[in-house]
Amino acid sequence: MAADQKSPVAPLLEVIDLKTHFPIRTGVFSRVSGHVYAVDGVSINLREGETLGLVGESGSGKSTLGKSIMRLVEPTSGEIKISGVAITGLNKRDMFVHRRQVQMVFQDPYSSLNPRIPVGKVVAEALHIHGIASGVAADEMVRELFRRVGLRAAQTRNYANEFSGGQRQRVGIARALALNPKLIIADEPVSALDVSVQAQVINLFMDLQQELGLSYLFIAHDLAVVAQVCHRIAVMYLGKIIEVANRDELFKAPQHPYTQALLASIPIPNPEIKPAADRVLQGDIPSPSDPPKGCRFHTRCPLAETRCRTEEPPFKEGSPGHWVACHLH
Amino acid sequence: MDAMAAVLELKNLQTQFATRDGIVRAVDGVSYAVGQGETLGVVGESGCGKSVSSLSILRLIPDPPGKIVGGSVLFAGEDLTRVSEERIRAVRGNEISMIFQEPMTSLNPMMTIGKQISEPLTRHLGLSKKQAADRAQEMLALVQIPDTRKWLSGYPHEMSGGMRQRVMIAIALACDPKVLIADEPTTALDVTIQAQILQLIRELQEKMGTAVIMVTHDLGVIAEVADRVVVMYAGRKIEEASVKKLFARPRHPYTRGLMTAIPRLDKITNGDGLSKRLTEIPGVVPPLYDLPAGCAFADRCGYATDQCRIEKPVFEKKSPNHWAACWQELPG
Ligand SMILES: Nc1ncnc2c1ncn2[C@@H]1O[C@H](COP(=O)(O)OP(=O)(O)OP(=O)(O)O)[C@@H](O)[C@H]1O
Ligand SMILES: Nc1ncnc2c1ncn2[C@@H]1O[C@H](COP(=O)(O)OP(=O)(O)OP(=O)(O)O)[C@@H](O)[C@H]1O
Ligand SMILES: [Mg+2]
Ligand SMILES: [Mg+2]
Repeated sequence: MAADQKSPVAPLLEVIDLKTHFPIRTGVFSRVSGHVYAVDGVSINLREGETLGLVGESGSGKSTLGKSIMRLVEPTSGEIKISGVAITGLNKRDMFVHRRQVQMVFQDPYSSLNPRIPVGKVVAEALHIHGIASGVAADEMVRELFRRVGLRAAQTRNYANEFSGGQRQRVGIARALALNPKLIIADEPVSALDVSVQAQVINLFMDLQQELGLSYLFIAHDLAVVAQVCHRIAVMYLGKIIEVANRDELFKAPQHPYTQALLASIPIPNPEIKPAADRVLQGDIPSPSDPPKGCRFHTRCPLAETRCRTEEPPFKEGSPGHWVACHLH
Repeated sequence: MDAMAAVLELKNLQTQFATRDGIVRAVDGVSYAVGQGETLGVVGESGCGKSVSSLSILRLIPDPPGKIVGGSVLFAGEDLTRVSEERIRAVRGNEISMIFQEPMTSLNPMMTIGKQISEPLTRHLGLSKKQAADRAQEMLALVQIPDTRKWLSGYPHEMSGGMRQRVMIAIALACDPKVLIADEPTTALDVTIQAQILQLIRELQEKMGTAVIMVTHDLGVIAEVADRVVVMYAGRKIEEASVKKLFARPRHPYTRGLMTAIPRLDKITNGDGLSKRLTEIPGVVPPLYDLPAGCAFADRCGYATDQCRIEKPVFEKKSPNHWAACWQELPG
């Protein structure tokens, strides 16, 4: 949006060297026998009105990063700032206030709604808990929110199972919007939807950004979806961000061999274009509890050299705004 | 599908489920065929009957509530809907095999990988234990599992999603099937792993001449692997064409809607798609227990007329190698 007209203030979201490790417990005494390095030193920032896409293989740590920012999981170390305020050290009460600014929309519109309560009530409750509105005033706000996300006001009385997948995702978005957040973390918000309904929800995300100046951290594995909605894109691999760039820059000039492989792997819906024969990566993703030494991608990288196996590549800004962690750049 | 001899042919297949809401016509008179070495793509909205039609081929529909109530499945001179229970079991996983949507639930968590591949070999092909184990190891190597020796005695939960799906493919191909039915074989996987698996299926198909039925909702996958495509909507086949014809000029408004609703990376990177709105298909699929008298898509269709709402469109030839069920002549 109009971010460029403002004086250089602190970014809306700033994540600095964030690590979220999960202990692996084994045996009868549940001894900690190792760690899953789900997020392992991630730094990102997000401006107001901006959408940052987060892509990467399954298990690379995208959801964990999103949940860490929400503090639905506790980060191990590092810092998270919202509008310049560090939230990593906040106590429960201050955290409660912060919650309003950052909301999450989940992948699965089925399991994220209580089936026994009318969906309108679910949203009204959030308003009540945060002391925004209650009673009749809350109900009216909920109806307004429903209209805003393309549902009918009367549908506030329906139960979750009476909605289609796309409608449930709209309810999820209405609930996220209820607290008037600045940032929405959308974790695979359209992956569970049909292609025809997916377009409806993607358009809704884009319209809401226009109207409300929202920022999104948009997690998805479908790169075409990400390309549609994001201004900038960050690529994650095994707990680390390995490349960040503007959308067009990333698609035109991907630098990291993993990003290149990722882009080359996307099937293009045009039978006249034949896939390049050499695009297929060899090998599986290594275990996040035992990541490879050096560059984490070296076990699958067609270009890996000796130092890639021993030395971790620094995250460098090769051209303005285009960061990559690769020895070859 | 006139020119090539069909290996497998569905004729007017009807499969229904008895539910509390009424009779669900999950597959409502679907016909398609697939030839040797050919890949038939099957696409369509979630719940339109893609999986039920492929499960019906092998009579894997839970009965009750499900039942094949009409039509036939012709394979090697037999109608599989009518053969004995014994015969269909001999066909399953042997002459026709299937890769399912969810790799984890379709592998046996208690059985070693090696056993799961070799068991059908001893059962169907009468191989000795030793021969079957050797073949299992060979198959693992074929689907590019490293450390094949070690994995023979490994269990599914120790593998990544991509590895499990490759084991499914190894099992499906171990008996050299004539037909491979792949139901969303890559939906749960990442694009880099998906690319590996699609290439693998293609290579094996070239080597063995397998006929492949590829069920997916991903038009990108269809464009890449299919020779011919069947589009389904609400239990029916609404369009069929060679892959090139389908993408060049879809004849059914639903297919058109699908093509314009997907974000297209190739368009965006051409610099002409800067966060434009996508074209939506408004509304949702009608419930299959309460289908309208006319075209099931009419409610969502910008071209619909009164005729469309009253009378079911006939599935007819629109041009060589191209059929659709639509009363309207769409602009080119
Ligand atoms: N609560 C948890 N306890 C232990 N390990 C976890 C937990 N949550 C996630 N992990 C592990 O952390 C890693 C990263 O998981 P995460 O869900 O963040 O991946 P992701 O990138 O979102 O993957 P996907 O694309 O499949 O959703 C995985 O190896 C996962 O198994
Ligand atoms: N056991 C069952 N009982 C009742 N209805 C069923 C049963 N199995 C499937 N159906 C119904 O049959 C219809 C077709 O389902 P099917 O699984 O073939 O859809 P699909 O096209 O494969 O969808 P998807 O893309 O989501 O996999 C659906 O409406 C579904 O609800
Ligand atoms: Mg995730
Ligand atoms: Mg299915």
